[in-house]
Amino acid sequence: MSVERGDSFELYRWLYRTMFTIRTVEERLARSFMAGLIHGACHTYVGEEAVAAGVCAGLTDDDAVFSTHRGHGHALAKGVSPAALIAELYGRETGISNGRGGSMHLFAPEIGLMGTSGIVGPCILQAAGAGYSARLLGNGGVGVAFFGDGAVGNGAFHEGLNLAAIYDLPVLFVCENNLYATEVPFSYASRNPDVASRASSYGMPGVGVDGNDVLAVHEAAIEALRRARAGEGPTLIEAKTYRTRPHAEGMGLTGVYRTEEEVAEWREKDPISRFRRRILSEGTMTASDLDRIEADVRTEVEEAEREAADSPWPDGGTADRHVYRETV
Amino acid sequence: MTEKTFTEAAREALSDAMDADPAIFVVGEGAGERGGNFETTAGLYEKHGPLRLCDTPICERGFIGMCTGAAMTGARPVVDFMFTDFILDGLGELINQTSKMQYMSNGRLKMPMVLRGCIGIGHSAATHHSGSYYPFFVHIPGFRVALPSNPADAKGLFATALRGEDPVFFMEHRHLLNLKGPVPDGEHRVPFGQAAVVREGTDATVVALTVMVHHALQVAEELSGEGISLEIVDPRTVAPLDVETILASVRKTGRLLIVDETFMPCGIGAEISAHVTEHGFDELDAPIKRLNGAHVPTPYSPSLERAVVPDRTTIEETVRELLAE
Amino acid sequence: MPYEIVMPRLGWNMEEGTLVEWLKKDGDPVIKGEMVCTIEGDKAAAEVESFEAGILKIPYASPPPGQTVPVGTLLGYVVAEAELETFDPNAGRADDAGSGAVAVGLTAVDPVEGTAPAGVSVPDPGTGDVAERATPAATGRERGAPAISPRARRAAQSAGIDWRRLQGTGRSGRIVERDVLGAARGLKAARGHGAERRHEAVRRIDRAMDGTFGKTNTGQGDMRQVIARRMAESHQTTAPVTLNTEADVTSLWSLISDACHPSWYDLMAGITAVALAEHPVMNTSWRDGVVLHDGIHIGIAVDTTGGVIAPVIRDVSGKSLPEIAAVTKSLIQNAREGSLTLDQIEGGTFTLTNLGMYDVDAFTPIIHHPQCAILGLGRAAPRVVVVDESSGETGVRRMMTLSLTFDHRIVDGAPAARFLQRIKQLAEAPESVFGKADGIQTGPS
Repeated sequence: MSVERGDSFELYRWLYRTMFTIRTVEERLARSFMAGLIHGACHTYVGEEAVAAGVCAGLTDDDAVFSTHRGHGHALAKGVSPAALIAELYGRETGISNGRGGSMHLFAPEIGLMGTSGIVGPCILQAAGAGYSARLLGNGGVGVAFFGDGAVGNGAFHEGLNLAAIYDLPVLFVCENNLYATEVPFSYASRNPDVASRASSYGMPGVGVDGNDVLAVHEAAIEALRRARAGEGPTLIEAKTYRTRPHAEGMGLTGVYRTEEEVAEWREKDPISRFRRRILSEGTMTASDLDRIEADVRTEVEEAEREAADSPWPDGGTADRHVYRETV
Repeated sequence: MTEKTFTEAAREALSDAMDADPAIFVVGEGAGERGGNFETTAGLYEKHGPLRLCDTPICERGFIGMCTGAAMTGARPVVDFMFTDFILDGLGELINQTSKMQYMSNGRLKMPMVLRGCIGIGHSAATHHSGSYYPFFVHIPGFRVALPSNPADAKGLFATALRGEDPVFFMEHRHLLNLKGPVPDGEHRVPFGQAAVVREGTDATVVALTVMVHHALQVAEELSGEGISLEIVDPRTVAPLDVETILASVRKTGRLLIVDETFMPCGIGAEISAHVTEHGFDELDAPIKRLNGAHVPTPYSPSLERAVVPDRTTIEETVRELLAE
Repeated sequence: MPYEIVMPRLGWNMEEGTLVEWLKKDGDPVIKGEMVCTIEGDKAAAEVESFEAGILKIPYASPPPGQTVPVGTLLGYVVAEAELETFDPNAGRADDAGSGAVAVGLTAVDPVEGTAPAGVSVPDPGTGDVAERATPAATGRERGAPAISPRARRAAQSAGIDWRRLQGTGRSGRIVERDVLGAARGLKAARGHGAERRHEAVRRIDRAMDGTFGKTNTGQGDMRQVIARRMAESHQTTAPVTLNTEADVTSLWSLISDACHPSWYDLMAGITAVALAEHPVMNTSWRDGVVLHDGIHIGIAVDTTGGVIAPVIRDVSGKSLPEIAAVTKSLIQNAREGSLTLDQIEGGTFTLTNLGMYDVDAFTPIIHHPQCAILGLGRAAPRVVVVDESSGETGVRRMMTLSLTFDHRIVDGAPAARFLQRIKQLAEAPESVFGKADGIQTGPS
């Protein structure tokens, strides 16, 4: 989805609808998980919607997004339909990967979603590769890696940022710093709590933004995209945010790693409520405009869920398809 | 036909493919201006420039991951590892990402990526520069593994790899790099999954891989003086593996020896042996034999090194044992 | 290997059965000897036992209760717990692949167990395929037998060579292809067309008889080995008792001149069938217990150059004397030509043996294991006998000694004696079996 900058009505409407869609789908999936409709792990993105929406609002279908295990938000913001996403988590034939992937392997290359991933780190390298392709083929595309604070200590972060920097690749490295890698605090896992500051080690700009402020994220992304498309190389964006649901559905909301007070505090900073207040105070849209968006989204997601639940299972006889492109 | 070395033949395939397809680029330590540690890219930098002949920092995981992303987005990377041992630093990227992308995307992504590197024991390279490791990759769904044994196949298999859509390991034995042989001029491709019967015979089948093909041919020549007739089969690719040609040969001879420099446990010999017992049990007139490199890290000293790798003497001994079964 | 539960063969004639119900559910643990399902054959219902302990796995392809399926059809598996994780009950049976046609009619019937060995199919004897594959044990190495490579084994089979007699030149004396080919070259010159046919026939007979031993032989000389094993088996496992009696067969003798030219075998088979119908305990086999047979199928011992063989007259009770005579003639002819089919040898429930033509009066026949009994026929010699005890009148009558050997495990002396007595009575009054002397075209009464 690429939105005309400057057209704040269209931009705001897109951002609001996208964030609310992510929230609604995630809460629907959380319920489905409890009902046993989701067969594997399910990491929801509740509380972090502003990052995916803010960045993806600046992307075209030719820009390649490489995501994480917590990737539903990126997939939806990149344009995957709730129906295709829910069906994939339900393991159905109509899922975005025909049931081959599930939550952590969502692919829609035709719109630039190059996969969510079960392994932390590789998305950083692959986004550099997409940047390399874009330079080699001269197609103006940008590689975008979303990753958490947990990836920052991984070798892929170092190697990927270094490679992107030395080849001046058009890449956005978007770190969603939600303070915890699974349940390990970033403050424990790193002596330097500032992710953005690491950019200087690789000779690229590093930008820290409030990850729960969708317009701040969007603004940082737009500047990074401009640099990338202009051949000025990669940018590291650190979006400070927080997940207000457990690491994975079925796990505890808190635990030894965080308190209920902390979760409550961050709920106060909920990116969707904040953006709603901002829109209303700016007068860009009315409450009834926003309510209508919410109602539309709810209807769409409920229909998507029903469609997914009614969809056929993939035929077991097709399980060996697509291992190779070419048969020998 | 022109007489060329193995390396020249492979380079010709690369050069032709790069001329034809601007999406192909090569990455590796020294693959750029330097022309490759083993001259695999000599002369290409001058022609295609730094973006297509890309020197890398020493970060195998990094550039494997980067090339995986590039292949997902329309480019055709060739990763030149110099030594296959170095691939091991990027195994996670290869096995969890490269090999699975096409499947995970339900066939919507392609993975046209070629991974090339030297293999083989010799030259006192010791244990970080002598590995072959290709059985690992045969085990993984999604990979192709080509093992050329002569210059013509080096050109033909590399050309096929460079125009394919699947990730291919193209492994070059160090002893073969300077081997000369006739190479077809112009377009020449060897399809994957088609073994070559490099010598016909009737008494026993010897399946040999890479440099072992040459040792086996010499043994066959020597034994022919005694009236022993060996058939030598070179699989050329081990993923896919041409089981049919091997079975056809065993149908003829009833006896099978597999000679492979890599380790025996869970190796190519075990795989071939299992296929032949499953599909050709009644053809066998003797137990299948395997001759492999010793199951030890590769030692440095020439006398130790010689002791861990099959050679003409051990092949001949094993053939005689097989015929006495 | 998981234990296969198949539709068992409960009687010789049972070709199909109905799965009535499972007594265990898929996934239930089963202990050895426990009953897992109920099936219904052509007569009675029976429970099917698991001979292994493990977990019951019922494949999707298993017939639903109520469905009638051929004998040998796979119903389920009992899988050892250790194998459970790797075993896929729906992967299909190993021998289903490739062979395609597993005709149940050709399922190997083990005469001892009376059921088809699970999952084992026998190639059609008519194809000349080899006996080696008839039983699982045949593919394993026999104790004491020389080793042979698979290729040499196949070569021996196709050349009709008994590899057990070859000297192997492979390692440790293993027989390899060159040994077989060398032997084949020698044999080819010596063997004529007739010998080839005979060899083929012996191979078939061998298989038919050999299920008892769980292993098979091929080759011309091996019929002796089969007979030897079977005789020893009978001798070692049965409790044989022989009873002798003399019958006045003068009237019966007169039927020999009938238009259909009946033999002693034909006449005595007709009589024995009537007696067996009245004394079903004699129409039985021992298979870990007494098995009553529905049909009366009488084997007749035939001397051939290869040894004795007992082809079977089926359903004797339903046949007229001329029909019996016709069947017997062709059986004897086939036996001597070596062209008996599996069908003609299998399934006997009682056997007749005759040494009368060699002037033997009485003898002790050996039971055709696992049948209950065998009746030996002595010579029908003219003797001077008392024909009227009160007047003391004597006359010349044809007298025959009947020697009945029975398995005392199955039946006691008195009932066996009553059976023999009944045969004697019928032999002395043949019109009660075959109608009047001038009306023998009618069937048995």
